[in-house]
Amino acid sequence: MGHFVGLLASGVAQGAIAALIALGIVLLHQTTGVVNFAQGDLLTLGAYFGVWLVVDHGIATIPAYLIVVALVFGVGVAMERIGYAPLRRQPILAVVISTFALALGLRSLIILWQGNDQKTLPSPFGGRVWHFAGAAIPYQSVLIVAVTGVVLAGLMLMLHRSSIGRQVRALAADRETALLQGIRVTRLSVLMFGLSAALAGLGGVLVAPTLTVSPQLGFTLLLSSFAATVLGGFDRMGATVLAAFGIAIVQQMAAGYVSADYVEAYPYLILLVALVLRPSGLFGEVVRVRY
Amino acid sequence: MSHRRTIAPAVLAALAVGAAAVGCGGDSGSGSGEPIKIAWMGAETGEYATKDRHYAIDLAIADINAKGGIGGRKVEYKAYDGGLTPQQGLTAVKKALADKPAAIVGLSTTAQVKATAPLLKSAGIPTLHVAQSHTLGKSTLNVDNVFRYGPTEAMQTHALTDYIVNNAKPKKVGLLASTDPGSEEAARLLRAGLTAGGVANIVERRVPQTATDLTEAVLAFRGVDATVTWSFPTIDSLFLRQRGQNGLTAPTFGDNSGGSILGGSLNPPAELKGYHYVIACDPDLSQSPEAQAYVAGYKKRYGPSPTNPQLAQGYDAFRVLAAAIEKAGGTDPKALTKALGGVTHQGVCGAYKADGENDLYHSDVIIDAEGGLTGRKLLKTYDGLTSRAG
Repeated sequence: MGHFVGLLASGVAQGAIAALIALGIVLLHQTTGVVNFAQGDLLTLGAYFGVWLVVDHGIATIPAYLIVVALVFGVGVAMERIGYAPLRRQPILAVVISTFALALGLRSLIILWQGNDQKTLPSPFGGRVWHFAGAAIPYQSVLIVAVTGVVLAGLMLMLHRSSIGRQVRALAADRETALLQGIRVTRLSVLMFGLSAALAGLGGVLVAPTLTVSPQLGFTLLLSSFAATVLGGFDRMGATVLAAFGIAIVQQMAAGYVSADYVEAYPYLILLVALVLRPSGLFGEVVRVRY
Repeated sequence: MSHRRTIAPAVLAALAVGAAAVGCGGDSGSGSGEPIKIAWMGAETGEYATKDRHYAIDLAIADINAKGGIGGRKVEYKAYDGGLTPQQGLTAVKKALADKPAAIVGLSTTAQVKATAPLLKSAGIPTLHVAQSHTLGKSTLNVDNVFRYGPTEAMQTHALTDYIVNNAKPKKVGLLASTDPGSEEAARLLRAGLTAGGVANIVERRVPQTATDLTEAVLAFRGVDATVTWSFPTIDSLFLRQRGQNGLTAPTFGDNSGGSILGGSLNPPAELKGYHYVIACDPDLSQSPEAQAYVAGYKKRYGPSPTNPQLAQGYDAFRVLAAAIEKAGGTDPKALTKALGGVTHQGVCGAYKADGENDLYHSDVIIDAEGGLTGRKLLKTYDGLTSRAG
């Protein structure tokens, strides 16, 4: 029982991080049509901001987490101005390549700032774990899952109950009509770049205490998030979150009960099988590119 | 037009390499009082380009030159970005050979040494590498002028398994290794050593070096008497963390990532309980006069923190080279290669003397990491290890 619960808990925690990154990807894609390949490096940046604030400057955890989110939001806004706004009228491929360039640039800046040495960010819970049904679940993992739930609820509320949310949904549904209705796309894309980046930054500062912080931290995590995004359909936030949790849980269970040798391959096997069975994603009908 | 553009750089590159190979009779200034130039092949960019990567070799150069250099000639080095891949290593070696160094020091991966060996053989420039595979011996590479100044993985796994079976005396061991070829080979040697030492039950797990969760492996290791890890610092650090969280109290024995884990404070003291690792040497814990002089010089130059044990062999490599140049009476490549084959040097890490496989170094130490960076303890020193086994 403890073995099963331990694997399940690990899968849920891994899924929560993948969901946070994937939510940022989906949010931005809904608003701008852009798939941001810098999302993983924004997560890395969030982790480094966390180390800088908590370890180097001794700032308490909760204020530090909030500052990290604000700082990475600012970086996201800057990325929109540098990598997206000048290319708004260019083909979508140019923008996507631009996000690649921004990812590499961001990683280089992180290395210039913090060097290549691996770092650690202490968890506010130390090494304490929650013993549940024979499994030991780190409190940091519980925090990650709880925060992901709150963020998802907040985003859903924002999208369905606020003026900004209505604008985002209008853009997602029909960009041209939304423009004719007077929606200020520029302001909205700035906001969504910032919000999407902030989600990655939050993921970074949350996951950092469970891993070692290095400039490559976000890239690995980004890959499984992309699998979730494709599986969930680029336009469905709830479906993407479900896919993120589903992939991570199946990955852990397959490693535990089938074979641990292919643990990193499972997400892509799941993706492959799912796409063969349902080419438009598990939950979506059509995967569209809008710009 | 594009055809011409493609060919021109290729011809120039071929000419440059050819010129380098033809003109690689060591630095032309032999005996002229010009500096002796040494090429350093390190990871100058990327994940492993740490801030302190040149500390020990800068110190070696300073120490050599403070004593008047070698035969009245100053020594200088130039760093080339050898990276970690074969192509990066090959490119860096080609660049270095074009600069006509007296020797090359530092290639760090097996694939790099294999990729560059033919070029190094034709150039004839004495080269000291630190890649760990025991398959890189003189008889396998069929190259006389390539030497190794670090331990092989066979030496390290032998030292580690010997320590485990004689001290922890486990019956059941959990063995975690990453899926890169070096770790796979080390895992094979560890399994053989443990089995030969009477360990009847070995639970093995392989993980990619990018793994972000080791829960399955940790849970699979419940009930073992000892765990052994052979991977990268990030993986070993993650294992130590999750081992503690899941209540595994069996002692853990790891590879030389332990030096990085302690040096970077990657795990808090509570997670280091029962953690031991094998490493080529640890100057801070050595009582030898060479090590004490090195530590004093290092701290004077870079501050009071403990030295990075991973770097000390770079210092020794330059000192071994200096001793060989003195023995050869200059930097003529053939004479220097012969001198490297016969030189004996007592370095910071211990004795250096080439065996039949051109392996200069034959020692390892086992460290008890429980006290962290400042409280670590030397448990056992292994000397006289041979390249291919114990």
